Amino acid sequence: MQYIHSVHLDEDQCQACTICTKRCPTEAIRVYQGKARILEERCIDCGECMRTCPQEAKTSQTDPLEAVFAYPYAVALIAPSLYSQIPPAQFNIEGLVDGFSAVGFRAVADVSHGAEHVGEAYKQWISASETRPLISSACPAVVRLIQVKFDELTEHVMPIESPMEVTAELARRQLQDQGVKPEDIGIFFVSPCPAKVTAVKQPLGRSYSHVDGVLSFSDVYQELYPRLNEAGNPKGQRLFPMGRPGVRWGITAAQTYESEGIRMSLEGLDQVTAVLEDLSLGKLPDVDFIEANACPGGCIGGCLTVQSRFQAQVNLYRNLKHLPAKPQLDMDHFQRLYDQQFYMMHHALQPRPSQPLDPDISRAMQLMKRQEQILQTLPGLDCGACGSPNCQSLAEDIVRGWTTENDCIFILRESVQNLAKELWDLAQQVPPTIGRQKPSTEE
Amino acid sequence: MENILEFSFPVEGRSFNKAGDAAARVKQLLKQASIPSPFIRRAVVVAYEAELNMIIHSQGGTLRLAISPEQLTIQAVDQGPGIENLQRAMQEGYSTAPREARELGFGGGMGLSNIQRNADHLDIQSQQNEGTVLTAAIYLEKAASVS
Ligand code: SF4
Repeated sequence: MQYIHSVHLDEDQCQACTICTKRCPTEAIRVYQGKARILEERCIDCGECMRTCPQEAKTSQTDPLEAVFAYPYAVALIAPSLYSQIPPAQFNIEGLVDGFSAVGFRAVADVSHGAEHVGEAYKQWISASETRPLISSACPAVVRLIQVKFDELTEHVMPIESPMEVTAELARRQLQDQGVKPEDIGIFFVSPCPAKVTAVKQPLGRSYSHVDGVLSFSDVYQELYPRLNEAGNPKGQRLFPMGRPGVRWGITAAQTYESEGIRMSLEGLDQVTAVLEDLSLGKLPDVDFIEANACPGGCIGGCLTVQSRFQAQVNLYRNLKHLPAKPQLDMDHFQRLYDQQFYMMHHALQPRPSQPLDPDISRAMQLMKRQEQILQTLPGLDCGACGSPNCQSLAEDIVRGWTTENDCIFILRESVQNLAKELWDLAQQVPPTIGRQKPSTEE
Repeated sequence: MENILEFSFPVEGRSFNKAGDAAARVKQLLKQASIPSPFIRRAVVVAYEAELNMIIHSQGGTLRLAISPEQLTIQAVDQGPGIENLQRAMQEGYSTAPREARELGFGGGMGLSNIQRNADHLDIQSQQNEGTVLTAAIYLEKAASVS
């Protein structure tokens, strides 16, 4: 299978420092020949390496803003977290729609509206399903983390579409009802993170996405910010209403708003990984629902945002005041869609476990034996100088045939020491022509 | 019988904060060995409960994993008080866990019955005031016919 990724390495920038290898949650990065390489099948596009790279050598591929102008009817699909990026002094809802129209969009569709739909769908699914705990499917990096590293938990993921996908489909329907030609509509998600880019290019639980392109927050922001409150021509329309509960999805602990049951909210990959590890041991069976966001703070902490997440949190709370306190969801409409299975993923998520050492158990066992032997010889310092994240993964990389023991600088030093000693010993064994004393012929 | 791969993990008594470390490593190793996931799942439950038993009740011991193409064996060998009444210990909800463990939410009395449910064969040898050897096996032969 081909994997499409948003996160890439800019080789010219990479200084082979190995910092990213240690932060990657799936141990997907190796450094060799002086450059960091990403193992395609393991990368979940979480963006952690972008955040930690001191050289800013990791980048996220998004669509250029010009892509928007290819569509006569471009729609800006805006994440709840976008509301955290605009300083409260400049913020008002109409002004935001105006700004987008001035940039070239005909309509704004709020994913916060889709979030209100999805939050309701989660509640109904929690009561319908017997699986516990259920894990939110809203963060695509977390979903892929589960598929790749905690494949045994795949069935715990909510089989419900993301707010982004739901909103895109609702927007398409609504515009077609208004008489806009389907081929004229271009829906562009304005994304806080690379994981969402990949979720569009290679969707989860479905074969195609209703989103036509993904723009990065930071790219859009440069164009949008100076044009806020400055209506474009034609004036743009706002497709959906939403209340504070929908927009709060930009911050952790907003999902399944006001519902019963035991809920848990996680943010940052360290928290998420620790809890998934617990779940796979069978712990936490009493929890009903787990909201898990890969980024610290939730989506407002995404690595394509422009404000610090702390500033973003303050902004979002202040901007929320312009919105109604209650969700703006039409419950009859929601229920009709729910009953038609509108919110369900099209097919079950597939686990994507990392490759065993060998598909044959006996042969895999042989390799594991070697791996253990190698591990014994490694210093156990997890220094990362070899380019693998830790000693254990170097041992694995060696038996997989990717590299050799001499990648370990400690082993290399030992080899050099041994070699030097051998050389010295050899040097002592001088041939008679040099070392033998001259026979005394003089006397 | 020669085609067996063994691993052992030391487990400290009362080290509640490390509960699950050994079981998590068991999971990793079984994935590398291309054991089908339903077996991994069962083995991990067995390993975790056995590990937890040692942490709660003993002064520490060793968790062992043996992999062969036919079966997975998980063994917990500890130095501890031993199990006084094995029959009762196997009952769901019966617990002799000390207060310290219960206050931390451990020792709900489900451990041994959980192990029994997930293992194809279970053997427990216990000597009072000496220790316990728990050996659980999961047969893999059925793997081929199932998958
Ligand atoms: S995007 Fe995330 S998963 Fe992919 S290489 Fe970077 S840190 Fe690893």
